[in-house]
This record gives sequence, C-alpha cells and structure tokens, in this order.
Amino acid sequence: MSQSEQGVLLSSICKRFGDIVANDCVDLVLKRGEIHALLGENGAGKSTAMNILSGVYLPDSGEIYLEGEKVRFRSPWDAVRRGIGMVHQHFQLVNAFSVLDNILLGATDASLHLHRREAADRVAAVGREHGLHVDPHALIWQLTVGQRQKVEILKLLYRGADLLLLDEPTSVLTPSEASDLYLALRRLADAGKYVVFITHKLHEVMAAADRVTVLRRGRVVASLERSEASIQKLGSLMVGASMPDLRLKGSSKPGEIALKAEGAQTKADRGTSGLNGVTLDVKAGEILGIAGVAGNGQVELAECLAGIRPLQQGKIWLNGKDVTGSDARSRLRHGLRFVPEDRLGMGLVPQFDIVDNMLLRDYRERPLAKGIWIDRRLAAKRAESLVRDYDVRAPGINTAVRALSGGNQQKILIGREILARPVALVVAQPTRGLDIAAARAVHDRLLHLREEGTGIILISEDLDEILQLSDRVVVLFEGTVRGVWSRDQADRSALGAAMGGHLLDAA
Amino acid sequence: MNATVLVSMLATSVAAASPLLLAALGELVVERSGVLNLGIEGIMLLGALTAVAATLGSGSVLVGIACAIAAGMLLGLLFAFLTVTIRADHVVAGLAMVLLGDGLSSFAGHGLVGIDIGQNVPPLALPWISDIPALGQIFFRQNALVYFSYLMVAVVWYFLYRTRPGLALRAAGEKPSAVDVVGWNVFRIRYLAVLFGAGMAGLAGAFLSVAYLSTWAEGMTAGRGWVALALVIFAGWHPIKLLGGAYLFGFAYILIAQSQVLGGVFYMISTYVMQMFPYLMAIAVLAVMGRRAMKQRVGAPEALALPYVREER
Amino acid sequence: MAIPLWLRLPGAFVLSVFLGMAASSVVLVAVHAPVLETFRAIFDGAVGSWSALESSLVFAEPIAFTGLAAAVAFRARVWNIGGEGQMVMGAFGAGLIALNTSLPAPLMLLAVVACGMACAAIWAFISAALKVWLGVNEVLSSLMLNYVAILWVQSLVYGPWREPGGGWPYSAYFPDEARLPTLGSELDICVIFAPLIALALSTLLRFSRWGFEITVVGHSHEAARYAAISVTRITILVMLVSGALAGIAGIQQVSGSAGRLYVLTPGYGYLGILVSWLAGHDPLLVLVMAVFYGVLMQGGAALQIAQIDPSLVRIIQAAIILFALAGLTLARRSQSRLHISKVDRT
Repeated sequence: MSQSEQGVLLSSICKRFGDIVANDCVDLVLKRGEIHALLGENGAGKSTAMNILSGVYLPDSGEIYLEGEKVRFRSPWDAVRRGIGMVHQHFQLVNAFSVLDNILLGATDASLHLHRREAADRVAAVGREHGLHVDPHALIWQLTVGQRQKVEILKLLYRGADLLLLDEPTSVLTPSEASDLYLALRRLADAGKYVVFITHKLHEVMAAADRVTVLRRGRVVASLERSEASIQKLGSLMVGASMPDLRLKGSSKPGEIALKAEGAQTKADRGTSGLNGVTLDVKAGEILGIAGVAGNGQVELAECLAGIRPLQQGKIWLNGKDVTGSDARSRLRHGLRFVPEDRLGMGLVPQFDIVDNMLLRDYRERPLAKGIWIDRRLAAKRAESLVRDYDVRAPGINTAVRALSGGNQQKILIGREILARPVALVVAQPTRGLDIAAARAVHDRLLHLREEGTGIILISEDLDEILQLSDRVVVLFEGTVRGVWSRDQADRSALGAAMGGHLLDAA
Repeated sequence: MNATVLVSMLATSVAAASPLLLAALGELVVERSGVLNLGIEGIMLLGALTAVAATLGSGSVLVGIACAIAAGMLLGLLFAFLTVTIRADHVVAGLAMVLLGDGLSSFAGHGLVGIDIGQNVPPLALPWISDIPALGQIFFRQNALVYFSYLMVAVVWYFLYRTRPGLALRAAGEKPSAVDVVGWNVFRIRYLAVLFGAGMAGLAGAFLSVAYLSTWAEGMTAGRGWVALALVIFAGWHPIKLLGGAYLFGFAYILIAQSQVLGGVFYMISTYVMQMFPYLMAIAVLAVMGRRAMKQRVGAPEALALPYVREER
Repeated sequence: MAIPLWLRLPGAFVLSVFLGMAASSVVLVAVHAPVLETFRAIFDGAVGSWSALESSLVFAEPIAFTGLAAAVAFRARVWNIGGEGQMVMGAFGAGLIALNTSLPAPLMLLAVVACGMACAAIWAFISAALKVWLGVNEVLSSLMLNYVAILWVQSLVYGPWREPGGGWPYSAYFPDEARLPTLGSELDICVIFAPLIALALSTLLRFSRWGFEITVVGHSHEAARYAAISVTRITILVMLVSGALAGIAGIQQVSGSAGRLYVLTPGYGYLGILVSWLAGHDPLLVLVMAVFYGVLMQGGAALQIAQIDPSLVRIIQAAIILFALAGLTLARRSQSRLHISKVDRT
C-alpha cells in the first residue's frame, strides 16, 4: 500500500489484551474532507483502533502515518499535539463548569493566567465557523445531551484538531439530535477536516458516511464508498453471513394474552424519550420483538412492565389481571420475570457469588424465605443445578459473579429468571457483548421457553436477533409503537425506516 | 455597648478568626481537588507545638513559624501518600491523622506546657490605612500573619478561578478522568493540594501558639480544626465567602468569651448555643444546597473523597 | 505473592501492629525514654492481671458499641460519622429519664435505656433524612451534628442539670434504679450484651432478609431497585439502628461506670469508626478489634501510673492504625484482584 502524502494511514496495527486479539493487522486509510465510518458489532475492534490512533493505547505492532510522516504516540497528549481529537461515548465534561472552562481545560496554551474574554471570543468564532452554536458561559449541567456533545467537539476544534474521532456519537442522542450531528459532521468534513465515527448502526452509515470500513473480530473485512454499499451488504459484511436464517421451528400456538400494556406513559430519563403512550401485548407461547435505536424508551418500557418504574398513565395486565398498581414483587409472584439490559449494574450484584445472586429477586418468596430468614442451602442447590444445566464455566458456586465472563453472567441471570417457568418474561438486550456461541445458547433458551408457553417480550437493538426470534415485531420510536409486523411480513427496510422515524405503509 | 467597644470587639474577632481562616483556606483547596482531610485538628496541634518548640530552640519566631509549616507539610505528605497513592479511605486516614497529631504534640510538648516563649508576632499597624476610622483599627492594626491571611484569600481566589492550574485542580475534584485525559497528572495535583492544606493548617496552629498567645497548652486548638471543616462547607467551597464566614465565626467566638464574663445560667446556655452556631450553619447550608442540587452553583466537589484510579494503557 | 488468601488480612494486621510499635519505639528512643520498660508497662497494665484485663474491657465496652454502630451503617455504604454525637445523645436520653422522673425499679432502667436509644436514633435520623430527601452528604452532616450534640450536653451539664455546689461539671448521680447492674468491680452487664448483640447482628446480616437487603443496598443501588428493595427505607433503617447502637455506648458510660451525666470522653465515636474499618465491618471482628483497642487504652492509663507520659499510647495507636490503614487496604485490594484473575484462567 503506497503511503500517499495526503491522508492518515494505519498500517498493520495489531493489539492484544491478554488472550484477546482486539486488532489483527488492521489497515485503515483516512482521507481529508471525508466522513469515514468504522462499522462493526460490539467487540469487533473499532474502539481499540481508534484508541490507538488517539494515543490512549500503544499498538503491539504496526505503524501510523500522518500525511506521509510516521508518528508514534506515547500518550494521548502526543496525539492531541498532532491535531487528533476524540469524542468519547462518555463525555469528559465537568458538570459544574461552564462551556468555556471545559474548553479551556483541554486547551494547549502554556500560559498561567486564563484569558477568558479572548477565549470566549475565540470559542464563539470557532462555533460560528463550524455551525456549532453553544453559549460559552452556559453551565454544562444546564445543557442537553446533544449540546454537550457539541461542546466536546468544540473542545477539539478549539485546540486546532484536524482529525476528529467520534465513538458511537449517536448512542446518547435522540434521532433529531442525531440528524443535527450528521449536518455538523458534514460541515466539518467540507471544511477540510478528517472525520471518523464509530458505529454499529447500519442506517447511520448510510445516512452520514462517505466511506465505510467494516471490522469483524479484529480484522478489516471491507472498505467501501457509500455508493457501493447498502444496508443489506453492510449487514452481511458485519455479521459474516447473508440474512440470518429464521430460528423459529414450527409455530407454537399462541394462547391467551400473557402481558399487555395500554397507553403506557412515563417520564424520560436524561437523554431518552420516555414512554409516550405505548400499547402492545404478547400472547403465551409467543415472542414479541421490540426493535428500535437505543434511547427511544426501551429501558423505561422494560422497567415499567416489570414494575420497578412507576407509570404516569396507562395500564398493564398480566394474565388478564390488572397489575398497574402492583409493585414489582407482586408481579414477580404472579409470574412476570425480567432480565434487564444492564447485566452487572442491575441484574446481578457483581461482588456477590452465584448463590447470593440466585437470591436477589426471590429472597422474600417461599421456599427461599423462611420467616425472616433466608435459606441459603436451597439457593445453593438451585445454583448448582443452574450451573449444570446451563454449562456455566465457574470454579464454583461461591465465585464472585464479576469474575465470570459476560456469557456466563448472562446465563446465570437468565437462568435465575426462568427457573420457574414464567407467565411472561421481559428480556432486554440479552446478547449484548456476548460471543456467537454464548448468544446462540441464549437464543436457544428463549425459544425453548416460548415452546413451553411463556409470553416473551424481547427488546433488542440488534435487528438480526429480532428477526430471527420474533413471532411479531414492533418498532419503538420516541416512546411510541410504530407499526406491527408479523414474522412473514417483517423486512429490514420497513423496520429500518420505522426505526428511523418514517412510517411506510404497513402491510 | 457603644461604638468603641464594638470596634475593639470586631478587631479582636479578626484576630480570633484568622487561624480559622488560614486552616479553612488550606482545606478548601484540598477539598476542591477531591480529597477530604478530616485531620486538620491534629495537624494544627502539631503546628502549634512545633512553633513553640522551634521558637524556644532558635530564639526566633520566624523560624518557629517556618518549622510549624514544615511539620504540617510532613503530616500532609503522609496523609497524601495514604489517600492518593495507597487510595485508602479518606475518612479513616483523616481520623488517624487527628490521633497522630494529637498524640505527637501532647507527647513532645509534655515539658513545654505553659512556658511563656517570651515573644510573639507583634501587631503591626500599616501606615496610613490604619488611620481610617473604624475599619483601620479593625483590619489594619493586626499582626503580620493576619495580613498574610488577607493575602492568601486573594491568592487562593486568583489561583482557583483565574489560572490554568487552578482550573485543573477544580476539575480534579469534580471529574478527575476529564483532567487526566487532557494531560494533567491528577495524583500530582492532589499531592500538592494536600501539602498546601497541611502547611496552612500547621501555620494556623502556629498562629494560635505564637501569635495569638505565646505558649503551648495541650489540646489548645480546642476544636478549631473541626470548625474549619464546618467553615469550608458553610462557605460553599468558595474563598471569598470563606472570608466572610470566618469573620462571622470569629465574632461568635468573641461574643462567647464576652458573655462568659457576664456569667449566670442564662449566659451559660447561650454560650453553648453560640458555639453550636458554626455547625448548625454548616448543616443549614448543606440542606439548602441539597435542595438546590440541580443548581449546582454551590455544591460539594463531585469527586470529593473518591480515590482516583487511572485506567491502564 | 505466594501468601495464601486466608492469611493475608490477619497477617497484614499483625504486621501493622508490629510496625506501629516499631515506629513508636523510634519516637521513644528519640526522647531517651526506655523502650522495653514502656512496652512492659503497657503490657502489664493492660493484660498482666485480671483486674488489668477488667479495666481494658471497661475501655472496650463503649468502643464495641460505636464500632458495631459503624459496621451496620457502613455495610449499607451509609457513611455514618456521627457515632460520637449519637453516643452523646444516648447519654442525654439516659439522663433525661434518670434525672427527671422517678419510676419504680425495673421500669426505670428500661425507660432509661429506651429513651437513650431513642434519642440517639433520632439524632441519626436527622442525617438520614437530610440524605434521603435533600441529597445531603451524610459524612458532612453527621460530622457537624456531632459537635452540636456535644455542645448540647455541655450546656446542660454546665447549666440547668449541674450538680449544685460541685466544682466539676457533673449532673447529680442517677438514682440506683437507673444504674446498670454491675459485674465484678468495674464492669457492667453491657460486657455481656456486647457479644450477644454482635452475634445477633452477625447472624441477622448474614442470614436474615433485612441483612440481605442491607448488603444489596451497600453494593448496588440499581440492583436494589431491581430487587424491589427501597433504598430510602434501608438507609433510614440502618441509620436508626446505627444511632441506637452508638446510643448504648453513651448510656453505658453514664448509667454504668460514672453513674451520672457528664461531658463524655471525646473520641469513642470516632474510635468506633476506626475499629470497624479495621474489622472490615464484620460485627464479630469488631468485638475483637474493640478489645484490642481497649487494651491499648488501658495500657495508656497504666503508663500514667508508671510515670510515663500517657500521650505516648496515642502515638502508638495512631502508628498502628496508619500502618493498618495502608496494609489492610493493600491486602484487601490484592485479595479481590487475585480472586478475579484466578478465575479467568479456567
């Protein structure tokens, strides 16, 4: 590969963390004025490559060339000095400070005294130049997530960054904020900057990128212009096969409605849309897939159904019984179980061992509860059979759960929730961060459960997963349900459009 | 109470407030960087003793004060090592510091109790400004350390709000990862902040033993270290408000002393209520701040007392 | 390092004790004090005889309770630094009943204890309420409340409750019905209750529903929410229990050894926090550490009799704690890291 005078080149970059190969001879060519997307699933190696380019990690081997010149970054600061800047998924902003102070914090001047007035003028000028309008004196905690992201970008531009890296920039934005971002990125690229963003969302690549490089399992599998790409093609490059085959074998006969929500409304968390009147239902023996980009109310929906978040308006029925006023515990007793998307932060206590995690939700119910006491022996027995049945790799049931791999943790989480066949199961992002084998195991469990007659609500950002497993699919967008498709009717373009907010005529 | 008495009471308040001001200024900087040092009381005690011992040994108050600052900084170094490097619990480490400072000063000061060192820091009337009616007498006929405290308020304010390293220090107390990412060393910032705070606490102790009085007595700080902690909270971690708060508390101290002279059961009770004043005010400020939590204009530094772990490269 | 896991923590502790003593010896040598004699005097004075042991236990009693108080709160990660103030309010509550009412024998003592625990629990509740409803950092609020409580009792003892004609600020003696029954020459029945309560706490924390809830809240508020555990309820519960326990320490001092209300020896509340930390917040270990600390304090008192400056023992205490702080922190961290890395290899 020739080293052009123009452009940034990553050449044969390799990086391992312990036994895991994060980047395996990655080659990447970036051009000025071009918006470049790095596409891949979780764990494909995109963040690692970008972290190497921004100086956070040192590559094990390989070279980086900035416009023909070989460079070596020993720290993020080296990269910053060379004009490379990264906007992380979790913003590095001080909430109590003003926009100006946050920008000054990252600036590269050496002066002792802060020249705020000049800096404010300069911030305003840079903002005007690139179409990013933020009040320099606003305090960060007063700003929306979209505005904060603008501040992060301004931070980079202020210190003269030439190459902008954005890590999953729209994961915390509403769809309208995301479009604003695409416009801003376009302007930046037109102004002659290098713009790179990491994503796992196919539609985003098609919407915003000029060029896309697809990574899978640490390797580059393709590098295409947007004109050469399509959602279908990108999807198959990303997962390594064409459309995944449907896993459903035969139809189970869906029974009565197991779980139903009507007009569900609840307040939004910061950065999400909340629920604005969701009506849906799932029957016994059926899987209802809820597709959608993160931030459209998935977390709120799951938590409201499970009973750990209050509904402002609307009703919920479990097996025909109105449970709107019941708390999570009584819903649990009536057969509603919940696998949250935040495995270690919510579904399990990382420092507890497997036995105590088995107790987490049922410690008040017979037979695990005996009066005021907890029956750990019984919990241990359950833990043992779970470990056996699900083939959990752990040194013992008294191992702290945080020491296990993601796949094993998920097995424990799901295993616990479906121990007694639930009437209804709400499961969110069940295979996030898992490798193929573990994901398959999870899917098998869910299908098995479906055959046994549980009504399953599957919430996932992974469209493939939804399409593989669901009997019916709905799309959640800005807190409402957009369209219902049955298994045969569902296709990617219709769903993708709905996820992006457009309603095609549903078949 | 007539005007002259009031003016002279205010003047004594300023002197009484100055050790509080010095110690609290130091702690303000420390807490702003994200470290909670509960050990001020112990460091002040050691500073007080060291000042007396060093003055007696060298014959010069200046040397005494310098040694007090150094002693404070030594304890500060130990504290910083425990909290920043070892990442031990700030609260436990601070309480241990109180024990250490108290024990060391009592032990080493055993033979020095009550000895008059014969000299102290004399009051120094500044030319011209000390002739301003009222204000002149209150603020400008004090000893050199009091003038130093005025200066330090300005210096700390300027440093924190108008300089780059000050910005980094404040950020270290709010979101250390944001500071690390832009090339500052959070550990170094916190070490320096703790050393500064401990030095100031040592100086405050010295003030008590060689400027305010001229002697060492066991436990002579009488809880001022804890009041300094209350003062930092009361001032919302802001140096200018700290100045006002310190003088308010100083005035309360003087009132307490005066009312004790008047005696009687009624005054006894109100003495204690007045002594509670700094702590009650601090709680009130915390409660109000809590309610206005969304208006994070006055808030405890977000990362206060949370040890910082830097991720591996 | 090849030190087996189970040995790390006690090993670190024992090592810290030795290092602390070694460091203090340096101080002793610097002032030309006799090192061996000093340590011998401490040893003899604290554990050398039954009466010495008894005296050590007298010191250990209040520390055990404030230590248990801290342990309960810290288990839920509620940082109750207010043990000192809660202890004092417990003493106040005891005095409130003992000095102002006259109840018949068994009722009086019960009322004294109940009132003391209630006052202390209410005091703790203030910090809890501030935390839960106003988001106030409980370290700061409980710390400030300590001094308010101390000054409150001071005002009573120097003022309206002061024993007339007395030079020292003490209240009148409590009536006999309000005194704790004694055991031996110096100890009172609290010395039996402390291990009982510690055992009860340990059992409840490990095996009961509330203990489980408290531990979950201590580890993860989100998991607690998922498990339908009310963090608010647990925070308040834990503070009330913690306060009440610290209150017992106060009751023990005024209804037990002293027999009247006075300005309590400052520091037991804070010592409880230190002791609980050393014990890793485990109730049974708290007892062990409290006894250890009681021994140190009695050693200090013994030094005074042996004509050596008792503040030396504060230096020894501080030195041991500082070494233990560093050592145990590192040992605990390496233990959890080791635990994790061991598993990855399977």
